[in-house]
Amino acid sequence: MSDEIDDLSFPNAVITRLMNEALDGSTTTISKEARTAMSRAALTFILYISTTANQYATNAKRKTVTVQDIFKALQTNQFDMLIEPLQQALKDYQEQIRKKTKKQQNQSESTVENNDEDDNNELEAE
Amino acid sequence: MTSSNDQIKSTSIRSYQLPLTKVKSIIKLDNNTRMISQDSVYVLTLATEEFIRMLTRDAHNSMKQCASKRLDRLHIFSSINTNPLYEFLDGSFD
Repeated sequence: MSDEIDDLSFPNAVITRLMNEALDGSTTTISKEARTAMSRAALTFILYISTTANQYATNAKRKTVTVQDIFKALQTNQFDMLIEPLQQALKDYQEQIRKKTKKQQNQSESTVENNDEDDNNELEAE
Repeated sequence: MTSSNDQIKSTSIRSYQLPLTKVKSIIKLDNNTRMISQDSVYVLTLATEEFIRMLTRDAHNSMKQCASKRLDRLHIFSSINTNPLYEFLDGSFD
């Protein structure tokens, strides 16, 4: 299990960047060991919340963990303060996906229309 | 100092930083968790990013209390031992 865990450490640059965001422009340096410890803490957090969420899903006789399970798990584990901003972020994320999907659909639709017009032109040229 | 609210709000426009696939692999370490929605992975990723910021802020305060300029893992451990919110992390670093 510990081999698996070592393979699943996060990219150093990302951990460092996130930690620096919290240090808010101060001149503090971060030791390598601190970064490694933070990466491990993050991994434990993910497992902790997801296993709690999975228990909620299982209790409700569902096979798939949903965002509601995640929010409930955060609440149970005293991370309530994260819930509201996460809900907003999720709304924005889903809206982005919706817009992207719509754009792709429109693009493929207009491609089909263009092809039809070309066919008409070819006939006329003949 | 930016609040959790501000950090997550600005992140949602910028997008996430931790790789979603890696977060999903970690979730899968638990054999009981079979399926999880993509939205859930996304939300948990953002939550984890904010968790990292939170623990860093607390560790930073521990660091300042011992008049150091270098954030070390001892400062992280000190925060974990002081704040009951981080109790679940006990024993993860052995």
